[in-house]
Amino acid sequence: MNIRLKLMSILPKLMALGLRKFNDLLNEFPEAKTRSMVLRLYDSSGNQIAFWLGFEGDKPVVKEVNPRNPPYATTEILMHIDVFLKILKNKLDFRTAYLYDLIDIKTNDGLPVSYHMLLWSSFWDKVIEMLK
Amino acid sequence: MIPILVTSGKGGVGKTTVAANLAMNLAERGIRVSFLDADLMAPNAHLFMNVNKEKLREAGKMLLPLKVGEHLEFMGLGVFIPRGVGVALNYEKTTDFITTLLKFVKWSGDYLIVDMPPGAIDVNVKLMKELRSKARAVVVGEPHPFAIEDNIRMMDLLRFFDIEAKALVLNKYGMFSEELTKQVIAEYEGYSEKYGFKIVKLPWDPELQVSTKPELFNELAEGVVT
Repeated sequence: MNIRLKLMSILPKLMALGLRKFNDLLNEFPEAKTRSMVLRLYDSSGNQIAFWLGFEGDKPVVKEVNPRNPPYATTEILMHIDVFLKILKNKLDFRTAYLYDLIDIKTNDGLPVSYHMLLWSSFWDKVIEMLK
Repeated sequence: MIPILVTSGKGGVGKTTVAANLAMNLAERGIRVSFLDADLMAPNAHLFMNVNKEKLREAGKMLLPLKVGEHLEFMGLGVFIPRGVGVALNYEKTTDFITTLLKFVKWSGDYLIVDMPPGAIDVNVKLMKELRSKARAVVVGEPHPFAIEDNIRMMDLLRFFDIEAKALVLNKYGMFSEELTKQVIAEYEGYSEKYGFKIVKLPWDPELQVSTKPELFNELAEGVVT
């Protein structure tokens, strides 16, 4: 199945979260304001899509970007679309996926990968809780 | 902050028990103590610390340790990695975690007690390199030949990294035969005289496997902070 079609299965919930509950998420996870992420998702055919998550001024932004030339982000996270869906559906823990090499994380701000991994995992925990 | 590495050449001898009780003993004296569970592949010191799953917080590009008591704070992967998940770490991830836990946690203790994994594996070597010349060590062993064989190698490694072994804890003292214990003590006493560390005998106490008794660790606490 196409990577975008797979993503569609979770998109309505993500959009609802973005529109209605983003401030709740930020209240729970204020660390998000000081960091940004390029989230790269790929499928088994080698197709890749990328999103930039972060802030532009005070405004939270999630936008699709060119995976070959994404804007700067403090962290880049790469995973298979199936891994991403499992995480969002609470069938796989973000930290476990990292430990088992199902997620690659790259940092661009000089902080260790595990530092960002631990903090982003709290963010995903909250997202998953809100998606329920 | 003075790091105190609680280490041993052999596994299963009671490092975490000694580290947790030492930390609590010092904290009860009003000394500010930080505790790092550096046993990345088998993190369980949080059970002694009575810390449950917590949300990680950040302040000024530093992670905040978890408050355990008035004078005691804690950080370890056992609190953040889900229970029952095998911790599979290659060398790159291991050293990256150690860097985070040592340098990017806002430690505030006068002493940093580091509960080490056993032996001379990559985590230990990375920790010793990072903390060389600054750290003190407590070596934990049992009174039998296997432990002494592994511990004299560990003590050599500590000397290589200029880390002073302040004490050797003979854990589960009285559990093994009297003759064996005498032999082991005689050998350790030779090293103790040569290298100047204190031998602390910790009598076998089954309750120490599941609970803490910081009051039993006065001799050790006084030995490492002087």
